[in-house]
Amino acid sequence: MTTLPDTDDARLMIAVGRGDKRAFSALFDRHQASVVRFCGRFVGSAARAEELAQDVFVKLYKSASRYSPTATFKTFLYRVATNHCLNELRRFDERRAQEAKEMTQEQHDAALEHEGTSEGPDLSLEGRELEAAVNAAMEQLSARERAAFAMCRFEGMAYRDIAAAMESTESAVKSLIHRATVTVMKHVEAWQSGAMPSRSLA
Amino acid sequence: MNEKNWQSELTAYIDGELPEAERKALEAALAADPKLQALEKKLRQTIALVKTLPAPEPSRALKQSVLAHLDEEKRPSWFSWPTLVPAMTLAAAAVLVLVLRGGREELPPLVVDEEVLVISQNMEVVEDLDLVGLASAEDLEVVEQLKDLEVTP
Repeated sequence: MTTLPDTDDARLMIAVGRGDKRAFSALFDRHQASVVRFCGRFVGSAARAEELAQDVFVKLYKSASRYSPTATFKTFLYRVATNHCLNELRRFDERRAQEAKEMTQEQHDAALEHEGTSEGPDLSLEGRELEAAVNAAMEQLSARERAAFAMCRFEGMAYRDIAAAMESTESAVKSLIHRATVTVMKHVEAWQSGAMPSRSLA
Repeated sequence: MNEKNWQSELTAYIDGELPEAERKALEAALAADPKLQALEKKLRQTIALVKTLPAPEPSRALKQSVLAHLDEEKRPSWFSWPTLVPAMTLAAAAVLVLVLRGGREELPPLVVDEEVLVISQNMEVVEDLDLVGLASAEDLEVVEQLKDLEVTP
């Protein structure tokens, strides 16, 4: 498969800004998989990935007229996606905190078990356990660590591009990714040694 | 740079993000430090494992959903249900008035039952006496005669 250069994306995005729907369709086709993947990993839920990706593309369309080709399209796209997921995560955390206040202990336990239900593609038991360990680790990360980790590990982005997408510095991104990777490593180690409690792995 | 600092550089080293000079210095430190080597190995294993996780795939419905959403957003602001419902109600009422007014002349002559006609001509009385069960022309006649009787000395 030929990978089209980012300049093509930038050209398409400028066309989208003029209201060209075919250009938007082409951009969507090229990037939908990575946006769904990024959103799903960021919030730790395959079920919410599409909903978030939809919002990201709608925002992308709306902001097309303000797009400046000085930023690479990929950077711009991930900036929109990161900001949206950060806001969504904040809202979700607030909602969850409010619900937790109103929940009985039994309801709380049931909700935790439901959250652990695999929503993603079919996996072997080992794969599901690994995924649960990684998700549990990601839940412990700060929102910015999550964003940097997801862009680096799942999207294969360079630190410089991640820094641009997060409106941060490469040095800060390096620290975020290192801390996140060490946290995930500790969870994976605990899972491998059987030390991880079943709830965390659920 | 001490060991701790090298540890914090390890991830960037594995990701190929260290500048040449730092990379060389870290490789020298690695060669001399088994603990640093062990950490590097564990980090590499973790990164490799994370890459094996399957990613959520977009469904075919996603594109349709996004395009539908954009079409919805592109409609003018007055084209929204809160605005549209009262507007449609007003329009329907206007159409109804026009139909009734325009159609009045063409309506066929009403064939009205005489009893109904009497009652309708005496609606005030009927409304007043409805509570006591007067509903027919005969009843009205009785009422009128009673009135006459009252007037008669």
